[in-house]
Amino acid sequence: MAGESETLGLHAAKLGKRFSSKGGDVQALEEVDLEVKQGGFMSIIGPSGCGKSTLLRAFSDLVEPSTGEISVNGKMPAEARAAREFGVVFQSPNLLPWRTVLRNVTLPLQVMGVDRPTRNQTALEMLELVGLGSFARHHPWQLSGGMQQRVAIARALSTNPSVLLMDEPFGALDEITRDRLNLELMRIWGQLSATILFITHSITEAVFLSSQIAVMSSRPGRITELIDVNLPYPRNTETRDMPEFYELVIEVRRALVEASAVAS
Amino acid sequence: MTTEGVTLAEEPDSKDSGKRLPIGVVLTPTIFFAAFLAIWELAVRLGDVQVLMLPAPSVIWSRFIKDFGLLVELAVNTGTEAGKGVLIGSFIAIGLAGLVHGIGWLNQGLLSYSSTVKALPVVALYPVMTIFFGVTSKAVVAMVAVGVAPIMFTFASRGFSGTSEHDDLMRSISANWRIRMTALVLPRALPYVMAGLRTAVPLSIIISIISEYFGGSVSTLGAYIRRESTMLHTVQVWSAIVMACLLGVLVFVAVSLLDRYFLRWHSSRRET
Amino acid sequence: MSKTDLGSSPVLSEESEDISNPIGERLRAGIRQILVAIFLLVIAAALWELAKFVTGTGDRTMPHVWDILAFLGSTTSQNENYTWFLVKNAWSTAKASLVGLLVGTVFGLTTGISIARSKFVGNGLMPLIVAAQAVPIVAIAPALVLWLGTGGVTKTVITTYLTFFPVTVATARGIQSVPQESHELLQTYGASKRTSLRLLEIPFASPLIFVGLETAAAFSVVGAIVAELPFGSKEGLGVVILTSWQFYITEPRALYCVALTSCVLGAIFVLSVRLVAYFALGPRSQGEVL
Repeated sequence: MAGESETLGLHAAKLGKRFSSKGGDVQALEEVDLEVKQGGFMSIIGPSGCGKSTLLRAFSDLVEPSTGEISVNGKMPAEARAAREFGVVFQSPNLLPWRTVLRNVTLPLQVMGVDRPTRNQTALEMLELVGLGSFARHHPWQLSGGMQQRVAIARALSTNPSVLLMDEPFGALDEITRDRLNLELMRIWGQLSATILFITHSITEAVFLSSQIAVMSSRPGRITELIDVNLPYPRNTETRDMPEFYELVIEVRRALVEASAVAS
Repeated sequence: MTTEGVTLAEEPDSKDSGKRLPIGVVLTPTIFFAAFLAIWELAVRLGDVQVLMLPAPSVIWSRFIKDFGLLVELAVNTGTEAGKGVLIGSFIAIGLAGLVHGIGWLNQGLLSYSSTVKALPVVALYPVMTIFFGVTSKAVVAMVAVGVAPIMFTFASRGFSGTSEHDDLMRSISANWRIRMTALVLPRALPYVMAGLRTAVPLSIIISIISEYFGGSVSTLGAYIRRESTMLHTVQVWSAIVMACLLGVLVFVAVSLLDRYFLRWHSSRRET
Repeated sequence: MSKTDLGSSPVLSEESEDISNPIGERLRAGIRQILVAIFLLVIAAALWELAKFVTGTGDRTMPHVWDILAFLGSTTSQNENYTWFLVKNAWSTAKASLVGLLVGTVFGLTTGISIARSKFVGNGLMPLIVAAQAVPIVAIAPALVLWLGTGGVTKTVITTYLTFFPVTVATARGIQSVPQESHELLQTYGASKRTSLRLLEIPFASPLIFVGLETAAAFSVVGAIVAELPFGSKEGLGVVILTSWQFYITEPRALYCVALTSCVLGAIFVLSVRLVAYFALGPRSQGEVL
């Protein structure tokens, strides 16, 4: 961390994580170096079980790394968490079924001890941002899966974090909904200036969204290749028709194949 | 800390975790139980409590050993009454559930009824039973059947109400009624019936002991407890209570084993 | 960093399920259930009369339904209206049940929470608690009377004992089944244990806790009646049951009346819990009110 001239949004240096259990040790992460500039959009792609979720959990202070250094906005994850520097979007919407949409979004603010009028107002703004302003009084079961995940995004944004950690947020959705939410995410990212770490195993999704893609191999989990995505922003439906888009998709696929070859 | 524990425990050795029982599962309750007994024993000895009031565990245990033959005989009789009651009650309940499961409103009505019948105080109904069956073993059996039936009805009706793609399969191969029953409907209801039994069987022991307490066959746990307690033989009462608990645990284990055998194909039973 | 402007992407409008007025619907469902319940009561009475007619059972064993109901209007030897006499005794039993239910619930909730919180306590206590439910309380009651006398304390102890277990088990199971993901969600917000208990664990477990409370409510009535049975109590349904049983030969209808009253009291307790659950949980309540 020390000695950086510019504070990075996310930074990991020689990060390692070893899980020990009765069945033997598993090296989930090994020597992972990662740098994401503030305001950058980094996707991590790799086969299932390659440790990409562990990496995200290390940033979100849910897992303690065994070796190496890690920081969010120049702070240790625990400090960053206390300072509400990041929001997490989980694989499932993870909404509390007994709360209305609005009260799900206010949950983090309630934990922080923000007073009710303020947190309701903030939550409504966030719901407007994800296009669900008129659903504030609904309960989660009345919403489709895609809408639920948008509520989860609104919840993650409610504390106004400068970093968004997203763990395969659209993995459980159908392709059509996923494409729409990708557009939506681009729009939201355009309005905020957040740093995003995005875990996925969809190649097109990674290419469409990111400014940079990290390809991971499994067992031990390490980053085998970094691919810059030089597609122009703003990205929209036409982006997907660009020849460069296809070239990048092919490049990422090749990198993934090589990564799995290294592993086996 | 906690998060890690859970996530990684599942990954590498999910296959053989079922076989090895973690020591804590057996050891911790044993420690707690031993501590509980020790405190009890000490409290009685140091507090100089009269045997009449509360006997020490060691005293109860030696009486339990001494009367073991008699207590087993009593427990067998009680268990038989409970077993008969469970059989009769389940038979009626499952039959009824099978009969009405096509008739929506009646099924619904009986369901809401049986959920309330479960609240009926057994002690208030037993005297009524004795009007019909006399103060005999039959009244105890009837009481158990009445107590068990609503539980079994609730579970069986849930089991019969399931529809699945299998129904379409049966239709597509033009299965007749008998095949549909034996190959699909009954096996599909079985997990629910077993779940019902896991609740009903331990309850049946309690119901029969309470009923016996008020009369019934003489050589049963409930009757013995009443007789000894009126004579203020507190130690004998406690040793019978120990036997009653053992009987409760025994039938619970027996049902769990049956459950495991019958439902070895069922996904929810594979790990546990 | 080049970013999009606002208008370039379309705002999505996925359709959500239409929600019709849930309160009106629930009210209608409730009324329908009450009608079915009354209908089934009538059926039961009719079956009773039918069985009596077919088997030719005498009035001594199976009095007519109307005779039993008419007996509620008679007067006791103390020149008291019989219904009033039953209500008075039922009230005494109900008070004891309620106190035991409340105390047992408080103990049960705290024990359940600590079981769910600590693996050590949970592993150690849970099997013992399950086993302790097999202890026939009628058997311990005489011993309790020796210590505590025949008063309200014995009643409270017995009802508390009986209600404690279902609440404990339900609370522990409910909290243990909170998904790991939800725990992590609150963890990322740095929620304290107390906050996550309030915001996550208790709300998540409450449907199951209410199911346990229903059982506890039923047990509390049983416990109070048992406590009144053999030990020289002065009032309560248990006392009335015993005396009516003794004088059954001379007046069979009294026994039926008190048995019915006990059943009604048990049903009132359970239905009240269910009603509270219905309003507290809204659409998450497990079953219907009846």
